[in-house]
Amino acid sequence: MSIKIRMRGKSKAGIAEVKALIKHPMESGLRMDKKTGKPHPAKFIETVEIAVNGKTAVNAQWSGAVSANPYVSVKVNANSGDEVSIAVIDNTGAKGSSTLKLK
Amino acid sequence: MKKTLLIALSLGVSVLATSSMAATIDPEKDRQQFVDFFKAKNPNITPEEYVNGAYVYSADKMAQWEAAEEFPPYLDAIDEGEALYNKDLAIYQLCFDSDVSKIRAKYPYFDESTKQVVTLEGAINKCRTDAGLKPYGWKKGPIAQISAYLADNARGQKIDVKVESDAALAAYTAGRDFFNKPRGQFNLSCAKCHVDNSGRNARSNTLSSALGHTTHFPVFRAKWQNLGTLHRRYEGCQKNIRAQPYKPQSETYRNLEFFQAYMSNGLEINGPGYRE
Amino acid sequence: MKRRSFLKGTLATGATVVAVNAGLLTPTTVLAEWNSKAFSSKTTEDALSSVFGSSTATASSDIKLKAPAIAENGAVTPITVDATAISGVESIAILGSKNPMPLVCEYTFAPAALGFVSTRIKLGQTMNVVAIVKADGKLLKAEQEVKVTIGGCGG
Repeated sequence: MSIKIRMRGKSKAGIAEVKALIKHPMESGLRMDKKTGKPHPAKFIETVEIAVNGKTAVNAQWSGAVSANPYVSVKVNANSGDEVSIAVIDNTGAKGSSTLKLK
Repeated sequence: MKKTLLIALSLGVSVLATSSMAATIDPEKDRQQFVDFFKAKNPNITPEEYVNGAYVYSADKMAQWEAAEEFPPYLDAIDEGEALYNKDLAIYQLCFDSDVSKIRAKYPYFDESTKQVVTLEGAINKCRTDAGLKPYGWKKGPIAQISAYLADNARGQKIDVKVESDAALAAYTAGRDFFNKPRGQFNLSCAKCHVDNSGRNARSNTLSSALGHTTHFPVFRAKWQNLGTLHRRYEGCQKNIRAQPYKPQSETYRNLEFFQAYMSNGLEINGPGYRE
Repeated sequence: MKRRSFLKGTLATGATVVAVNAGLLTPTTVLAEWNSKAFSSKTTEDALSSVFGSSTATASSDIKLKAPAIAENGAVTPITVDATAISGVESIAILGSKNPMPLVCEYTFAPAALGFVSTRIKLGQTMNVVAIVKADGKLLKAEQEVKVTIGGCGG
């Protein structure tokens, strides 16, 4: 099951603000499950890579302290028609990616 | 001016709540008094802005809400609702307009034949059971997702609830009475918090105004991290004030929704919405 | 260490371009060296030392840190760090001073990216949100207190 990602992005004067909304529980591993008395197992995105036309522009490392269903927005040098892509991997090895052609 | 309205509203309300003179209640007069009350309380806020709930009272909160609405977490729910709706499209087209943007604004309405308030969620499930399908749960999940899909398609349309018969007026009055009646361990009525004290804080939550209360449902609450229906929120709020909640889609809650929606007549539908 | 040098030079390999075209771009194992030492550090100083090799940062008014004064919901606190006024921004780290593990997230930028990030983070209690910007080899910082409250009647 790959991680679902939504992207939005628009280029203006050579700069594009790229926004992504990722469907992921981002369990830190610290939150207690009241029923079992044990913590919910950690499941959170660890690495995020954002690229423009295949060339990496931003690399990020996340912890479980990033909010659930995470949102991230970055700004890159890019023009209309350029392709921006995002790829993520979580601590269990689950992956997700998405590509967007900038307006 | 402000005090007089306040007194008038609470006096008028308490008098009518105990009297059986239902015939003297005029929903349009109520609504106008409601709108005037909020205008007097906060002259800088226009009635239309109240669709944004408690955020109108704090720039700090408004900024956080706008940050969330920039790429809101309920988008998945809208897509899921669309998929669910289209899956059983043949059934739904027997009950609803073929133009999905024309559905949300019709609810709630008073059905003269059954003498009951019909809500959107109620209509969805009735459509399902009439066709032999299993009904959905009332509080979250598929019912909320479909409601979100239909609300999103009706964004910007004005709420226009009609009270056009004695029976409808009785339902409206029942909802109104519920709204004004103190209940629970804290002896609070909906009006006490959401009219008299709207804009003030109950511990660290800012109380939203009852004007515009129903416009943004179903709601994605940060607390729930998912979507919920209006009746889910009614139940939750009642539990918060230590009052015995009623069942979602019970006659009590449907009448309350009828009254509340009427009070928001003329305001724009802006659901689904993000809230704390 | 490997991560940073990978970014500077050997990035846009043919393999990466092909992967994108095939819709298969995923972080490679070389990039995915998650800095577990930094993320399990219990103090801001330890976290910064693990990430940047130093915890000394100079306050800078050129960093625009946007955070709410009172978080409506600590688990979903919107934060924006805008360091676009600074030249040569290499990376931005966001920390919560009183979170059990202060380091929340860290971003490294290639020349094609601006020194800007906006996201939503979890704050467990009232604390300072700290934004560290590494630019031209120097560490700069901006911080702001965010009040995190327990709900009231909203539950």
